[in-house]
Amino acid sequence: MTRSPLLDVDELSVAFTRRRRRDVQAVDRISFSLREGRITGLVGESGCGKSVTSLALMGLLPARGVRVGGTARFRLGGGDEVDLLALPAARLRDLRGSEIAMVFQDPLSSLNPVVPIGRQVAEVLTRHRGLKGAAARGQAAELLARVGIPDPGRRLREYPHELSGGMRQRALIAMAVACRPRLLIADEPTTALDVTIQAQILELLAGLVAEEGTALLMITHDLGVVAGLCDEINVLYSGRTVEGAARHELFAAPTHPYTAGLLGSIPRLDAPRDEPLTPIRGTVDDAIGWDDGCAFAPRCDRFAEDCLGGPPPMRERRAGHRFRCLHPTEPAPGEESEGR
Amino acid sequence: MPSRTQRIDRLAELVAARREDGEGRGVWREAFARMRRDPMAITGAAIVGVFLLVAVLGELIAPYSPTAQTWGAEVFPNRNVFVGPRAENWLGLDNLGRDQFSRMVIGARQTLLVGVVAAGLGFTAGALLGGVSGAAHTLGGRAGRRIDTVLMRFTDMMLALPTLLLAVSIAALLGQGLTTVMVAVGAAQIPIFARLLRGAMIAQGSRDYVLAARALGARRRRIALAHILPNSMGPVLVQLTLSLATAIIDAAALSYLGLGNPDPSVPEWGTMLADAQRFLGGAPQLAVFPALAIIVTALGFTLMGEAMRESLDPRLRN
Amino acid sequence: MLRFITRRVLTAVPTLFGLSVLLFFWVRLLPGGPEYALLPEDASAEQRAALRRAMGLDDPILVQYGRFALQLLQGDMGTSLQTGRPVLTEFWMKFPATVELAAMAMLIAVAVGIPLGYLAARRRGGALDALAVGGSLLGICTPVFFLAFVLKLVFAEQLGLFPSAFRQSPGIDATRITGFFVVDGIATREWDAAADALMHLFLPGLALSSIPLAVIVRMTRASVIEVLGEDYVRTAEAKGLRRGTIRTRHVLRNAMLPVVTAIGLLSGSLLAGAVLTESVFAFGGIGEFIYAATQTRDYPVLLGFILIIATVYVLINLLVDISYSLLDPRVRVS
Repeated sequence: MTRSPLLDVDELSVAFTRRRRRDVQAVDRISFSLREGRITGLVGESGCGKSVTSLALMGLLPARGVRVGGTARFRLGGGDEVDLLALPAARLRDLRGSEIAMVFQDPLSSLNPVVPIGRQVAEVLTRHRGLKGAAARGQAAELLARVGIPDPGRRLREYPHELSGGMRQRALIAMAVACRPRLLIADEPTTALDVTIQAQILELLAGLVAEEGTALLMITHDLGVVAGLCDEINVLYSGRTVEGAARHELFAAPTHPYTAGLLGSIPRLDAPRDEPLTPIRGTVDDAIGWDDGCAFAPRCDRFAEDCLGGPPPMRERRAGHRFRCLHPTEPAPGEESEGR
Repeated sequence: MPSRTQRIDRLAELVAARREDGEGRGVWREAFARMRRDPMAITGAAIVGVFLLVAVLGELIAPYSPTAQTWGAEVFPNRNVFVGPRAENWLGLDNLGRDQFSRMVIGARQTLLVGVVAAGLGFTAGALLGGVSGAAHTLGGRAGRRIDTVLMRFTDMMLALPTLLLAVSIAALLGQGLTTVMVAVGAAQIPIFARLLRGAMIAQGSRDYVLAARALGARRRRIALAHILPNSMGPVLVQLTLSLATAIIDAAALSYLGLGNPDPSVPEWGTMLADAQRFLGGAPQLAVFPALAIIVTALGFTLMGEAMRESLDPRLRN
Repeated sequence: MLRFITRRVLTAVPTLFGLSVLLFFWVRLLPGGPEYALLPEDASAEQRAALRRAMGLDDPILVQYGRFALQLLQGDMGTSLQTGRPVLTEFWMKFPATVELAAMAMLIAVAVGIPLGYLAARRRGGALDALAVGGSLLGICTPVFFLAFVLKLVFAEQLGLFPSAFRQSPGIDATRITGFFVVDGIATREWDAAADALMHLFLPGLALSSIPLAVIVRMTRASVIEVLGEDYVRTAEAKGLRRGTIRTRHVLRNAMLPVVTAIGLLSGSLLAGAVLTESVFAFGGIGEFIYAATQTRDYPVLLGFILIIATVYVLINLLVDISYSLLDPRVRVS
């Protein structure tokens, strides 16, 4: 049953314009699609453009100084399709919180410090479902219970600074899923939390997705999060997708040297104690423009002259496993073909 | 076929071309570079520059003596006729037959003196008070914190009075005169500088580099003077610029209240403005010129101070 | 909560105590000594000697201070050299005028300043922003007494739109209850008296509002700009809330916190500015009386009024502190 994807992002690009300086191309024509009930990961280091992607989809980028290109076709409840990037602001405002929702990284700063939690949850219900007063409060308490916050009735009146980090994030999730959105974007939802709480929050998200059939876009730099949660994964580097595959595929056969490098730099419990980590040398700043060649080249052990001859094209090995590299790690013989 | 070395060189070129130049050349240089392009800072600096120039060159610019009542014969017989701007006297005459333009030019120097002395007094005494308090709080342990509390209580008492009234009460003790005005206005600024520097130093005191210095066993006096103090000076210097502006205005207010220099021969914009108030109906230019001069000069210092504050504020950088 | 309030009140006590000590020494440092400063010029030598004895200037300092403090607490602040009436009486007579004036000034400052500052922040970099910032800088840099004179000259004397002096026109026959002319007029339903009092309040109120207005515009603008960049505003946008909801519940509720504190501090500058404005408009309030006192070296009045003003200022800031804790839930815990 292959319906069309819920969200089909095609050649999304975001550039920040600055006075008297070159534009910064934060996102450079990435494409991916999301389906109901599936969890898709967007992985990369800071500065690779993954957060900007999510903000562009939600329409939360500033109006001035930003240039957005490409399309993001979203299937509405009634079956119509709209391009999120081309919608008028008012229409997008109607969709946000009801059809598309987002959970952010730092729960303390993402909550209004002077308004009680209950009100912050209820206002989503008031805005999109017309609930008021006691009805809204009642449903807000139910939502808080559903995301695992104990004693929700009391919590309604409390302020964000009175809750623990994990509970704040749960409250943010409650606000996001209040109107049962069909698409949920989570931008580093666990980065600011303790490890044990991280696991709980991820379980919560997975559970909600399974119950509601929501499509979840999980944005993170943490491959551990991705490994446990996502059905398919896109790896971003310097604004472009460099690899995209289903979970098992990606971890079994990391093709792009960057992906391989990320995996290699994670400490593993089952590795010998004195085996050294192999980090990727250099930093994100040691990049070149994609127009000049592969942006990863300065940090790559497999770099050769042709890597500087312009942007490497996206190729495909096996169905659904794309990669953008001329000298990948372990290309399976006879399985390469030209892809997107 | 290019060698590996050449490939790496080419890579390095491309990376360098992508990187932005000017990374963290120090807080002050960055701030200064930003200010150079800020229209507010440029306007302010231009105004202040002109003001300083006029104050310094003084007699070289003024066509006549500011105190000689050269045209007295014209003015005294008919008190109701005031001589406005004309070819001979660019800004006209004052009520005693003196050339306004010359008075304004020489008055710039006195006004500058008032501003500098008052703000300087406030800054020096206030920074001393605040610096000792802040250092004691940060580095002095429990005894230090007590000293800080006592000193700040004292400062709070001074702050409990609106600035003008504080200046008035000090001036009442000292009698009339320009020195009184300078001292009173300056003293009223002391609590502001004290609180500012103390606050900045305490904020620095919990920073990692201070903890590191103490852990390494550096002597507390050295930590205070060589590390904490320089990093706390930003807001204080901004305040210094702003205080120059308010000092000039407050001095004019004190003159208006009759606490200024009773000798009208030595021109100073504030005194000139205060004296000219009674002629506002018949000869507004007597008051308007010094008023405009004060407003524009104060504006110049304020613009500079505000530009400095914005350029030093880490949050406004992007 | 109650503990928080009591603690804040208790910190005010040493400040007031310290102030009284400072003023105690201040009196003794006046030119010529208290026996000359506190008595009229034509006082006789016996009267001066009597004052010396009464003040116990040869007693130990602590005893003197004790006497001083006791007198203060009983409300005895000496007698005005200009009018011969007790200083405290003069204060009660004159303070309603200044309170009405300050209220008018603060009303103008808040009603114009907050919306202007908000709009300037929303349309940052635009013409309104430049106007707001420029105008507020100009407002701070203009001497208040000069502004008062110019307003009076142009709008009262030349254009005749507003009265140029006093609190009420001579023709109006108004009943006095509280001394607050506008309130009295409304309470007795003498609408013409109330309207007339308002007309008299407008120009001096406008002059007095220049500095608070400037400060409020800049503070509101800076605060709104900061809040607009906060993550929780982004969350509110992500929830798809209406712009009005975001503006009131999320932006303003947070942005107004520092502005409220500033309003408390501004009351001090209002009291000082009143000195400069009232004299221009012959307004008959505390400010004008202080002005006269500085001209005539009426030290008892200066001493008494300054002490009272300082006390009021401390109390106002105390109130602002406490009300801030009501507005910002994060503060209550500490």
